Amino acid sequence: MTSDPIPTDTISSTSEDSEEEVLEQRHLIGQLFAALTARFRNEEGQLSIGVKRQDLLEALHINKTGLVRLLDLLRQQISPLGLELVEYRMGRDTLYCVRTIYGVPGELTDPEYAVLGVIISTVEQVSKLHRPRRVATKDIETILVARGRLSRYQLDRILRRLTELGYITRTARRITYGPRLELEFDAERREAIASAATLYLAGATADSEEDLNET
Amino acid sequence: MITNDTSTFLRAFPRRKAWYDTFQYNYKRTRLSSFGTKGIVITLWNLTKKYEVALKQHDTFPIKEAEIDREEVADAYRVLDTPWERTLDGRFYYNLASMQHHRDSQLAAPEIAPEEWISQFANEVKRRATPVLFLINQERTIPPFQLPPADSPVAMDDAPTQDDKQAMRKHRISYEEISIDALGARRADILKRLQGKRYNYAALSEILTNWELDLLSQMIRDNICPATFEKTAIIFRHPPPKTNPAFTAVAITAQNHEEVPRK
Repeated sequence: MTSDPIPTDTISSTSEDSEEEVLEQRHLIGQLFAALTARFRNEEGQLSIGVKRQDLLEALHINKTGLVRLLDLLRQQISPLGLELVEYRMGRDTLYCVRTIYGVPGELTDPEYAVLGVIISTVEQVSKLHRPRRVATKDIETILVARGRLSRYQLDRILRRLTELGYITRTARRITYGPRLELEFDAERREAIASAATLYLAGATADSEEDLNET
Repeated sequence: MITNDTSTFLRAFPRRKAWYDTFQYNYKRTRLSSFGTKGIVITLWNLTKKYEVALKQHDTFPIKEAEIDREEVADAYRVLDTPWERTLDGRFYYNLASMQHHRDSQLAAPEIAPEEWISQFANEVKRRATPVLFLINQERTIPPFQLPPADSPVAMDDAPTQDDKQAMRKHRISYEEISIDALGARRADILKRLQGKRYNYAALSEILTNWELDLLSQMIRDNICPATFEKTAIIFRHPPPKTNPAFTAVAITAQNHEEVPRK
């Protein structure tokens, strides 16, 4: 971002704006887009998905209304490209990131997507009253490793990579959704995946185990 | 009253259920042994546990074995009277049915290779994704919005200053074709500048260019420019006085006691 303070007047687009101001605004939007789609890790070593609002305010030297106007402009500009601006909260921070509307080639490989699907389908079966909804790593292992679909080493590597990329968060024995997974797969999509997975995970699933425990 | 208590207990601590079951089992067994009847309840309990454990481990028994087990306790309902015994009967049949369901779904599941399974399932997940966009690639620890602004003095696109040019000229290696006479003239020039003086090494590198230093080292080697080296400095001495070649010739002749006519 440029270090020069940007007066809020330039951000409102009126017909009276001079050419220079319009050019400056475009330049600013370009830089904002670049910042929102940049890839970096935060101090804790986690992949940062998007930029915090506070950081944007400090970098741009504008107030909150100015930022909202600027983001609205950006939203208009990127929507013809099939992109959308997403605002989400993590802890106390509000973050902004850019997401695709349509299916595009993702970052993961096929086995990684498959493991992600297994995690989603098993976590979706956990009751919504449980917070956070989580699944034991052992259950994932029984579905994938015990049936010879992946080796234990492969599964470990994939889970580590998914953690690095912010899809899941892992404790010693359990897996929960990461922020990126909830951004990329909203609740409807997750349910759809869970229903599609019943075909693939035919036989004993966590579902049948739960039924057993209830009796 | 007791049943009410146990039900609330179970609702509060569902994980204690296994413990409760064994307690009930032991209680019943003592009761049964005292009466000496209803051995079928024990069989029912064993079979129920057998199927529960197998289902938890995703095992299936063949249909024949399951059928034998079912026939063994088929008529149990005639002698079961307490609610606990009837519940146990229900549990056994539930497990039997679950096992059957498990077996059927395993048979019905298409036999595809693991790689094929993974790619098919991955497609199901992939086409529902709306990935977050990362355009500026490679992970970096510095966020992009904390980079120095473009108009800072660090920027590299500035034109080189006069000092930079001078420094560059000094350290540049150049090729130049010179004649032997010109080389002699340059040697003489260097000698004229240095002889009888004392220089630091650092100062010397500032006075002379690269090729001049090169030439100087050659001259020191050939003893054209004799020098004594100290820790931080170098002293250039005057060369020894040149001997007259004609005079030496005479000296040789004097030794040999012969006279050579002077040309």
